[in-house]
Amino acid sequence: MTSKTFWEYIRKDLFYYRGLPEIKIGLAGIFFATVSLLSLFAISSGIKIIVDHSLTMAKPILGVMKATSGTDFVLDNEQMTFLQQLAQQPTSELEAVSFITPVDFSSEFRIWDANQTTSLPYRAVAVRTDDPLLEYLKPKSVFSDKPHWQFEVIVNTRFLTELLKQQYSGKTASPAQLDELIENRLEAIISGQTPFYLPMEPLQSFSSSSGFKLDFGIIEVPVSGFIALPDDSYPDIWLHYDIARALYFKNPQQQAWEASYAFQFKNGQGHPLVPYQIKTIQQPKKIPVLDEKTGDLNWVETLRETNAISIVAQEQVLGQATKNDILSLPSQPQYDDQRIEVEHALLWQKHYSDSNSQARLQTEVRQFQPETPTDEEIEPIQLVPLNYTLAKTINRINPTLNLFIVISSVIIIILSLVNISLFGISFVWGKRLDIGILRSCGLNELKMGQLFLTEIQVLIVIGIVAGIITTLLLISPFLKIIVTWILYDMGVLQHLETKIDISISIYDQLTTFLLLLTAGLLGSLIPTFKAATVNPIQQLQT
Amino acid sequence: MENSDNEAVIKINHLSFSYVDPKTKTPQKVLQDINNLSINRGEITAILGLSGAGKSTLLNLLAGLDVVTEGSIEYQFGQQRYFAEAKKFFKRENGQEIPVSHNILRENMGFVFQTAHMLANFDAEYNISLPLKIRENSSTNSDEIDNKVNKILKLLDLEKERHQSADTLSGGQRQRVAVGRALIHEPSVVFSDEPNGNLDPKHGQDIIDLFNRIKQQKSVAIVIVTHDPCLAMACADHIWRLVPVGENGLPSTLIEDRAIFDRKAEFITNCNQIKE
Repeated sequence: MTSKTFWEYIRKDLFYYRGLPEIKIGLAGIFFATVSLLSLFAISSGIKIIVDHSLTMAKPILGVMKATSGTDFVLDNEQMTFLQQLAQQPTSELEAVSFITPVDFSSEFRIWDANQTTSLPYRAVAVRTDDPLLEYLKPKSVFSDKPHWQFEVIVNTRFLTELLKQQYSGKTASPAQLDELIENRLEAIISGQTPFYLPMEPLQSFSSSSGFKLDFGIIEVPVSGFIALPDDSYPDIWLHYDIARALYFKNPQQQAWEASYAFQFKNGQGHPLVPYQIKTIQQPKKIPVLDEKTGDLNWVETLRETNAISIVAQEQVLGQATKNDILSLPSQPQYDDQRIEVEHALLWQKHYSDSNSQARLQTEVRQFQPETPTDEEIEPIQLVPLNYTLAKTINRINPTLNLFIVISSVIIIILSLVNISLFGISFVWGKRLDIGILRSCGLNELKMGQLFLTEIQVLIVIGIVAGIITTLLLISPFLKIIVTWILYDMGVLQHLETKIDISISIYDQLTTFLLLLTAGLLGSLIPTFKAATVNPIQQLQT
Repeated sequence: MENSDNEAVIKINHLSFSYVDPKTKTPQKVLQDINNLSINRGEITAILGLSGAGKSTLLNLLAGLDVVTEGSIEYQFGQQRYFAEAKKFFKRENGQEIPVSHNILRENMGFVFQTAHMLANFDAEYNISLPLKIRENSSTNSDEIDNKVNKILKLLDLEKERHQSADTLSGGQRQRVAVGRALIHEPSVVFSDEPNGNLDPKHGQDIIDLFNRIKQQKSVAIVIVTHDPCLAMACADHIWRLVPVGENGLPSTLIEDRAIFDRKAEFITNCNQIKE
């Protein structure tokens, strides 16, 4: 049989065929298998766009986020203000920031502990780029439910000195007296005899059109430790926050509380850790008064009105936050200031690259507390892990999504294989007489197999190509509308500000083509083999 | 009737055949010691037998679709002689057995069946030329094929229907196309299994006439396998009858029924009455 005759036979046989409904059913099966597989690819491409876009746009709920260049991550104004307030640094210098996302999208994802058994409350840590705690946090990423340092302020003694100088400036005292005053006060503060409160910026004010206004005012935060760091490049105030989800009264009509950046300190269980009341207290205060006659500096005892934090018993507020619980501050450190200070000081020392600075720091620490606790004695600072990020969470979803696509593809391929096998069997069965004729006319087994395999493959190719064309022209736009509509309805698209593009790449088309063709080839092997080895006389005698 | 000058295309010597019954798993002898059957070019040999007597088995053995285990079959195709015996198919050269492919049999045989199966998508001409097209190679001259097809179409009186689709042909026309397809590649022997079984008497007679016309060309041996003595009587030069030698109808053996020719006139009268 020449190849011309071979193809002439196939052409006439397939395209003038009037019998075999199996061919039509088989073609329809292959057609729908192609459409299904391509549609799956199309939908997954749409979902991938959302996931990719989410990853790009994601505002991490928790964890370290690189924001050094500003291009890696886009902050909205609210976030920017928040971060600037928090760190008092331009965003570009913040390397490790985490915060709560303002969109509901984030609430779709729950954060789990390392064993993935407990859903964790949202947490965030904001520290400066060069904060040595970052180094400390990374290996210590074990989540603890124990209440821990939620808020900590450590002040450089140089800063404290400057602050005191400011406070005493303009006082009627001689410079020498002022220096003495400052030195005494500094000593009292550092030794812990006098508590030192650092006035902090208001976090955020909220107001609504209905006149509801929430203003935190200035709060005074207890300074938990001091360190003498002569290096000017080092910051003077260290803030370590542990911020839990907060609520704000956004919609007065509905009396609804919504997530905001106003934060509330909570313990590991997500309860407000230390409720507070800001109240005006009167602190006894000695004011130096210069006796104009004698020139002596007299200390006059008076009462100073100040905003102070009143700590409410923790047990009282283990419940849902109410309007009055907007802001809480932490309790006093569980362990004494000195140890924290020393610990931190020792932690920081490794950030001094030159040995002289390290030695100087060690000396100062020893001077301050000669008996440096050993490593065993130092209770580790419990801090929230930084290893949970929205990106990671989505990354965890991604393989699941991929697995779903793979499983669906495998199912469709298996169905196609079964379908094509059945198609092959019914095709061969329907043409058993033709096989008998061809074989009795002298067509050998090999050529017989070749002929039927080619015929089946031609039909499969026609089915696949028809499926691809139909999907590209008709199904794909339809899917785009459906997927967009569903996602819009789910509220996903509004937040993502991206358009769904249902695309079927040439790679997807090629994959579909090859997968189904291979399935068809495998599926049609057995029937073809049977067709080739059939006894033609028996076939024709039936 | 016998023309001893005619060349024997097939000779059967002491042929027996058993198969293993798939149900009982026991060997079942179907044919026993078929001997001295000679199928000659230019003659029609009828093999008469009832259903289940082993006609199909014999046909399969002759066509090489079943393997000869006992006895032997000799084929004379052109100048070459081939042998099927002891599960082998071979030719002899210089006293040595050289194995050959069974395709030799297919190339030198044509088949006509009770139902004239056609390639329904193709016209009469294509169906007839199919064996040639299958055997076609790069050196085949297409004019040669055309000439052969024209000759056969003329012989079959199918010139008008040559481009008619096979599935629109009448039963008689289809059977003629089937005969044409069996003859087109100029085989040495044509096997015909109940060739007019599905035809009405008129078309049945057409086929008988056709076989007689072919016979006269003396180029091919025709074997008609049938249960119909009327058909055998109408055209056969030799009638062999498959007769049971066992208790339950099997195995059968083949004996030449010369006596039947003595009653030919009586048979033909009866057959004509039946047809009418």
